[in-house]
Amino acid sequence: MANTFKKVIDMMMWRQVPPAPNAHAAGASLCSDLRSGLSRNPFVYQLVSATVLNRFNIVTKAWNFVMSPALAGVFGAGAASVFAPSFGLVGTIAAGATTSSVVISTAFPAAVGLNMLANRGGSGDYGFKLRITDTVAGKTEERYIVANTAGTTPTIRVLSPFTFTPASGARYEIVAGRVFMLSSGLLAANAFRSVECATNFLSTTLPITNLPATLTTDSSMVCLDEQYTPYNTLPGEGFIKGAFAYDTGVETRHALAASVAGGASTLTGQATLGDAVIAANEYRNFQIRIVQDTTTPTAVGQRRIIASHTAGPSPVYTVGTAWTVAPSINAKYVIEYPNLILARTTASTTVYAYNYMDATINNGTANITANTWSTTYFGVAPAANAAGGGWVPSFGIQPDAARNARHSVLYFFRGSAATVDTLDIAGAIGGTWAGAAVIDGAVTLPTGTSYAYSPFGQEGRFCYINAYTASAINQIYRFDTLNRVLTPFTPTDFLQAGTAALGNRMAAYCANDGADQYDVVLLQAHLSTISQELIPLV
Amino acid sequence: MTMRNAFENLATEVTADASNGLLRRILLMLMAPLGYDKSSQRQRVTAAIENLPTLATVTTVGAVTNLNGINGRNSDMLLNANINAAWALNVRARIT
Repeated sequence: MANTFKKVIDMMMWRQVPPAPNAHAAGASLCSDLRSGLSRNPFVYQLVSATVLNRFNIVTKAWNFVMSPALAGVFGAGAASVFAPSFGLVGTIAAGATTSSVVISTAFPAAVGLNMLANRGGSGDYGFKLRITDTVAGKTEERYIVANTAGTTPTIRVLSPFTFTPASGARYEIVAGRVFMLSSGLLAANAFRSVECATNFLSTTLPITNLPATLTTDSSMVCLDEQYTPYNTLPGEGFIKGAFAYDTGVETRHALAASVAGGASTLTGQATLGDAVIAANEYRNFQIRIVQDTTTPTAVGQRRIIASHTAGPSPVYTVGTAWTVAPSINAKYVIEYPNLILARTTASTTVYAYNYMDATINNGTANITANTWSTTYFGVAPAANAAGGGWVPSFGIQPDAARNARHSVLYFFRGSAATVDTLDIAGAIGGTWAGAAVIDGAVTLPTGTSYAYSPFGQEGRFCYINAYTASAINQIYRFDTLNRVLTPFTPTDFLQAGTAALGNRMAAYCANDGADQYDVVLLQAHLSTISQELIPLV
Repeated sequence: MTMRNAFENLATEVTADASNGLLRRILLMLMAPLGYDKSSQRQRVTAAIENLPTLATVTTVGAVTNLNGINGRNSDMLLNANINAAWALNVRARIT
């Protein structure tokens, strides 16, 4: 381990990074990509107002204006943003692919420039990631883009060759990510929008149906993306690391292996290792994705929501919708988050769930069609959200042996109180809320409190919290999502002050140094442009 | 009316005790005009200072609310350099 920090003897500290172009004001927020691998988007996005979206380069530490998102509504209390890595650009490829290049058939929403996809803008080392799911070869593989022609249907070359020649009609996904932005006040068309990070395409058709007519109080959104994984697995490997290497590019990805051929709506997991240890329904409401099936190639690429499953060994997964093609005994699969954005807003107990996939999700009891908000997919919370409230997921941890702590648990700090509730999305088919969870060290989290869950270092356990209190020296805390302990953490030297204003001013991202991963937390000071970074070493 | 004439008029219209009181008040006003702090025996003023000469000694500065520049350079340069140096010693040096 390259971390030589000596506890008690050494001291951590925040460092100043260049100030943001715009000061924090009520409703402004930061969001970032929480993927741990090299493919993560190297920017933190700052939604300043209805007309200003900035970004911060996590490699070069520089800010710039991105675009005006032209959000409808009245920007302020209730505005929020969140990053979602998957499903930004999806479609099929045309004929003419080779093992090192594909030709896009389903047009991008906006034209790309020559070789634009070969540099994500961070340090320029890798391009965006292209995933090909091929139902002829029966494989899923991901490669970094090294060149592309211009236009909306470019020819794309990749860094290392696929192990097959992608067939015409194979599915492509450019996993660059989108920034989802929610305005506030009286909502109207384009109060909810997204920016796709590879093409810079600003959406025009995202729905506001099923959201409150008027957004007020405060909002918090959390993304449950299939690319988000525990600290010691890679995007594409899901929550339980299997032993089968299904993809060997720059990064080698692993999958679980079926032990029995799939039934109409079932798949049976491993008899030993991998998911042989899971508890019954531990991953209910998660997604199961077939990443390889060379025996039944048309089964590959299917995504299904797990309606229920038995305990391991040989857990039997029952999916919410029958397989289109039943996987064979040679199928390889991963278990992932279900690709939903969950929102709490406007002093309400409702959980607003948005499906940002290009297909319906169905857990066998309820469903959400693509690009739709649901108010009923998950049950209502024990108490309304208030100013300063926020979601904290726990996908970065590895469960303890007793499986007391699970990936399915999301914490929700109510705001303006010291109370935290938990939503276990696997607890029942509509999830299970538990009110007022007992945690150690609870403190009131008032207006202006900010959260940054950092699932990369420190075993993916910690969420960093700025419990804003004007001019208080110690405003920084961190919450252990594995062990439910809230403790004060390294304070900033810069004293934050001013009348408390809403907005999530923190974001986290991963620093990759060979095999080592570090958390990096960015904090924009309250009502200020001053920005600081912290690298927690304990 | 001159001051002398005023006192002459007072002398003719009020008693000697009253005139003594008035004179005492005038005397007190002359000794401790408005803004004069008797405890520190100094005149207190609030003034906008456009330029200060070279100060030989500044004994105490309560608080510097804003310090924009030092020798023509933005003062953030000094602060950030110190912070970054401390960070390099305390944090970066622990990541090998």
